Amino acid sequence: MIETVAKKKGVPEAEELPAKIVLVILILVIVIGVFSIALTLTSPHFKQPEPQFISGGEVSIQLIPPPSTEQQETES
Amino acid sequence: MKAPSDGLLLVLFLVALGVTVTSTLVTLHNGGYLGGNFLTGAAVTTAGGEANLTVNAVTSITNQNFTINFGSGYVNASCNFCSMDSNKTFINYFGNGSNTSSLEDGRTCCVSFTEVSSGFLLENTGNTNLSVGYRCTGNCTHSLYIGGNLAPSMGGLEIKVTSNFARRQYGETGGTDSAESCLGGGTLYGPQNTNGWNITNTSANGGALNGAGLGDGVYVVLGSVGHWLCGNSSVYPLAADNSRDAAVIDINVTIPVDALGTGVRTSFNITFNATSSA
Repeated sequence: MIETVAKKKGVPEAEELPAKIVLVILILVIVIGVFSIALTLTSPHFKQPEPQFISGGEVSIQLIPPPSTEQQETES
Repeated sequence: MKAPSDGLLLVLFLVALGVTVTSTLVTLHNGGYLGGNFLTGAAVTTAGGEANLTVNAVTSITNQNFTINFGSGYVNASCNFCSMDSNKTFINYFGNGSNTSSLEDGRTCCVSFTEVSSGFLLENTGNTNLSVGYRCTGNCTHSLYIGGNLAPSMGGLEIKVTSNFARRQYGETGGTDSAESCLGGGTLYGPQNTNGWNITNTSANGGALNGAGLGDGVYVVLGSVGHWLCGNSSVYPLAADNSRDAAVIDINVTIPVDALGTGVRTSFNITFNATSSA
């Protein structure tokens, strides 16, 4: 009914955006969005905190053969 | 080329909408805006204005002692074992069954070894809370380090952690602690509902505690597998306050009389790790 009236009154129809252009725009939006998410997720804020390592140091010992029984008796 | 159908365009539009909304949410979450604080830093009065100062979080832990050297020696033939500790203690296990503990003077079973009075002194020298763990490399087991036959109840080569408020080892950059460190883990520290310094012997994070040390610690058998000493990968109880930011790691070694005196120096290395949320 509205369409009929519009046609009768000579109202020009709105031009439709070509479907191919819409398709390209949508694909671009998707690609940019995915790129944005990937960029955000790989930012340092999302990474697990990395530990800092420091050297505590070395624990050492040297076990030497005990002196012979004769030596021990002499020493004592 | 045939024009895409309305159905395909609708699907793509919905996908694009979904990606955009997801991207926005991820970004807002990343920026910490989803807690309702969109306007942090905004002036709350028109009279004085507001000065903003950013203090960067610094994760830093230091060790003030890099060597524990028990020196060179042997076990007295009248003893079954001799035990030495980096906290200056010697234990004599005599062949007649009596066991005595002493400081440097009066030790009998550990002959000519060096008295060690300092463990590894760890201190949080940054400005943010930390969790602390350790790893061991080298001869980290008793059989590799010393060898010989131990009594069934002996650990042989052991490690313990003690808050420096209890241990009182000199050398902290911020002055010796006046309060227990590594508190506040509480129910957050794994499922054990414990706080204070711990060595989780069964697993690196959580799990049942097997001979864990708490506070003025209990010795736990050293192994090549690292353990947490304070907190874990997501809980950071070691405060940066100078009054409660340090602990000492001590080592105890027991030498059986039948351990082979090779004359070769043997060692292992301890590496500590500190983690913060910063």
